[in-house]
Amino acid sequence: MIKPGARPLLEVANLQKFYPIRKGLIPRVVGNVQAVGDVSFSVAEQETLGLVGESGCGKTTVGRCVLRLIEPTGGSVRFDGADVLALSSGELRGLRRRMQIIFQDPYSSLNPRHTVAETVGDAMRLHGIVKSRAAVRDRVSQLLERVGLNRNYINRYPHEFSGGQRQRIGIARALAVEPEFIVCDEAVSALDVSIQAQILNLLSELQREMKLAYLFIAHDLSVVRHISDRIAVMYLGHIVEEAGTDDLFASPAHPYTRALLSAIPIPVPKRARTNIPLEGDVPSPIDPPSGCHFRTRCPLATAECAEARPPLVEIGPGHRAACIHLDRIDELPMPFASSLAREGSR
Amino acid sequence: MPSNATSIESPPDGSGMPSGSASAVVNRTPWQILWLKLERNRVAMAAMWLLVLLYALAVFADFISPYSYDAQDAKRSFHPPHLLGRIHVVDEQGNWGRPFVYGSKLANVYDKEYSEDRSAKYPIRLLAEGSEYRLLWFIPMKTHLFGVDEPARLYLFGGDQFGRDILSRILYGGRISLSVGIVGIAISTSIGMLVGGIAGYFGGAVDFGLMRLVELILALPSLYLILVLRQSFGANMSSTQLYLIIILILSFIGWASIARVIRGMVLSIKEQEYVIAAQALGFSRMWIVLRHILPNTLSFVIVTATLSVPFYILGEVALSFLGVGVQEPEASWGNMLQAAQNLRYLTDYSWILTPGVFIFLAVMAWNVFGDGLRDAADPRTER
Amino acid sequence: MSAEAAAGRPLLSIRDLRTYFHTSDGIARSVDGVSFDIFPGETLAVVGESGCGKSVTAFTIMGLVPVPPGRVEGGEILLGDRDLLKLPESAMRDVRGNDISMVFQEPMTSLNPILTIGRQISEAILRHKDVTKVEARRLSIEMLSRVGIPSPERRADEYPHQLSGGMKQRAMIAMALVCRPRLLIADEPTTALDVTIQSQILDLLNDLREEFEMSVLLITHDLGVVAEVADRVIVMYAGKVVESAGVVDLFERPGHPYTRALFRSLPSLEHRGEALQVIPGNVPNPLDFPSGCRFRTRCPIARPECATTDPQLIEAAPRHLVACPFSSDGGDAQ
Repeated sequence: MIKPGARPLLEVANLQKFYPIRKGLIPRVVGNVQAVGDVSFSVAEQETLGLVGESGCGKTTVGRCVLRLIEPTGGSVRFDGADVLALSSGELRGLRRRMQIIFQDPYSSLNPRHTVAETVGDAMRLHGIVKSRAAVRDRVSQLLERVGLNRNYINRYPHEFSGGQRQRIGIARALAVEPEFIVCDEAVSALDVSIQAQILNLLSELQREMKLAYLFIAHDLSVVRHISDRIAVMYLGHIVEEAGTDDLFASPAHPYTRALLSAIPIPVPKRARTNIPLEGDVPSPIDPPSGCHFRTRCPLATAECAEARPPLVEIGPGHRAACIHLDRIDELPMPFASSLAREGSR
Repeated sequence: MPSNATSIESPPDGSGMPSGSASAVVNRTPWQILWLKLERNRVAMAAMWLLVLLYALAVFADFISPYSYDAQDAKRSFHPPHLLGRIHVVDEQGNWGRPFVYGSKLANVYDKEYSEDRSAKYPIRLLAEGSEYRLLWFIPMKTHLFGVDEPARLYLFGGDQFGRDILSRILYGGRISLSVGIVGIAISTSIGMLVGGIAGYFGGAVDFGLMRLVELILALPSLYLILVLRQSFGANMSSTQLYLIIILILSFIGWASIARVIRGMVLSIKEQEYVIAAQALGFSRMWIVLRHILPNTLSFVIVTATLSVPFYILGEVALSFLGVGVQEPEASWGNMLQAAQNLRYLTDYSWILTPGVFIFLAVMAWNVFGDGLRDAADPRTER
Repeated sequence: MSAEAAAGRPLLSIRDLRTYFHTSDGIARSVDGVSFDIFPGETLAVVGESGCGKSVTAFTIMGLVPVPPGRVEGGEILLGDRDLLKLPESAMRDVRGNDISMVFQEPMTSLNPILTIGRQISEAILRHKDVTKVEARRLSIEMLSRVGIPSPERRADEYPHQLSGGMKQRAMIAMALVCRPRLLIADEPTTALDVTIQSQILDLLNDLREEFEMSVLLITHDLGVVAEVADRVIVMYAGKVVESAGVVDLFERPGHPYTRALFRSLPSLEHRGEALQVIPGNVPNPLDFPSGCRFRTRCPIARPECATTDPQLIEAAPRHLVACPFSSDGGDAQ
């Protein structure tokens, strides 16, 4: 739910992705891995939506489905009004210029056999952004400088760079086609903290300058909080809560969000712990629990929770949560992160 | 996924040991790095030079060998090797001079015992005149690297049943035995890359079908398969045809294992984020395969190919040894060993096993060199 | 805990430890003159960015540095009166697992995939204790239950792949602690885990430390984790200790310019939307550390003399050591 009046750039409705499990000598579908159950959200122009959750919650799959790098099983994705899932491959190519992706792993995200010039420049020529070889090199040099790299690095290979520098090259590659929307898939998770701060600042500057919208996928809540306007929290293939960033941190309404926030290690020593212990592990997406997927670990769960999956209901302006016990949320302690966030927003 | 609110780093490999940051190396292509790492491996470099030597000997066989592979001499059947004490530098009178040999007399016809005929010396001449040949298949020449004057004959490694010089036959045989490996690997690697690439990239039913075919070929005992394939070509064939058939048969068996490994590599490269990035940038499938996937299998393919060359060399040896490969009078290391199937020849004239030394050297050199290449291509062995 | 502990005799003393890696591109001075003490019953955290030498320090204590290319060039590791660096390998094997144990970052690869969990723990017991197999199994199951693994009898007969990441890390901890070591070295024990699992494991480590009266040397890059569990903290940069202090002291009054810069580059929960203050440049290459103070190339208060003198750890406040002679001179300019 984007701010009233803002123009939605990306609208995702009821997105689903199942992976069939095949078994046998002559493979036969025996079940499904439910990577994404039913996910709807939208991203406005020049906005950052943070998508958080633990490993296996489906956040990366959502990011790839949005760009149609993975074909979703169901639902719809509209970009600037166009139905992304209905486009032919030729039409899709045109749209690729407008939507890009930045990856987590600074090592596997660059082809080890391509120079920086090739990595960043190839797509410019593909889309006819610049024509001549010289113009491509010129444009690549400019981009390198813009992402904070020396323009003389243009003929170097990935192995000659540090993790942070590689991440900058990955950003330059995405920017090469002048997109309006970028999926940042754990874009700073693999970096040292001092480098992570550099990249976060770079992403913010680029957003302002180039009027970019981000879908910022991460598991690190303090990073997501830093960069996002709004945050959606995923658990086992579903969004369980969505709110403006300050709102989500100050008053988390879903028990999972509260547990997640209370689990963040916060660099304030010897504070009172407000831990909400979650029992056990995330269940398997092959056989998710009936009803609310979180009920097996939820401290507030009752028998009712097994009956039906709770819908996302609006509990405040732009704040939605999917839980039938929203009224009992205050039985759980307020996470320390929330009290910090409240202080900060005051 | 690491989960840290405040991460300073994510250790790249978990061991925390310095893996030798590459940032100190400036502007080297991946190939240059491969070569630099290979260069530091002395054993592999020695193997490489040995291979260069063996292949050079084969290419210049007609110049280096004193005789043609089919030059018989019925009076010198199983002549013993001159290298075993029959090359002299001091003559009857005790004068030192250039190395020479004596002519030989058949002392015992039944046991083929030869004695030296000391009446005349035959100096070993460099660049001696001999039979005519075409150097590198087109320059007509008569000069050989070394030789002795008629009527003597030089048998450095000994002679075979028909009095042919084993050294000359080894050098000529190397042309066949060594080239089978190179040509065979070129063919089977091409098929393997194509099939493995298609299976890995397209997946699904195509992958399923192709991989079952691969398994079928790998499951059949290769010697049996070789014989079955060989019989289907019939018996009467020119030596060139036979040579091609040997390569075809060996390649037909060899591509399967390569295809299987390439498929695995393609599957893993397909998931690399740079491939997904190329997809997101709108590049076509063909472009992605040609620009991203295949080039990244290349160093691996070269390593595998190198390590599989011995299979072809030994395959030719096996076929020819069994008598279904290269036919007399054509020489190959395999059919030269065929003579050793006769127990009496084997015990009395054991120099007929000399081709085995060359087979061993070639196979070992390819293996050692391949190992070295593999270590050099492995990004984990940074130094 | 730290203040009282500091008065007592250290459990483990490290003096001027130097571990280098000899590579064909040069010598990596990964650990270069590191000294610190671990006192009984405390949790000492070693923090730093990649390549700072914190893991190599841990591996050196355990005697697990691969030789070659690694080599311990000098220093002492005193466990009581014994210098671990002088012990023969056989004696070191008795120390490992018995006096000092280690848990690693990657629970997936640190367990042998072809042996059951119970068997692996039993073997660790049988290696160090004179007990029967039946007794060893009983102790293993008891330990599994102690680290919070439900139905331990059944789990003992399962293989590592049948356990989730969090459960594997619990099993690793059970194996490390089954011989009741006096020191547990935990190298990034929660980095591969999700936050909710991470907090379970950190709580478990804290409980076990109290129950078993052991010390914990926690290697981590995560300042949040440090704040949650550490009593004292060592900050490492480029193979050297740059600061050492009690955890509250360190977080409230960081002394070294590097520590201060590190705190400022964290995205904070209080402030949002502002640009983060970054440390310019990259983490230095261990093959080519800067001369003098190794942080000077990225330091906001560096002076010309920093290039020539190697700063020593000096007591900036009681029990608060900082390796920067200029740390009081406004390095905290915000």
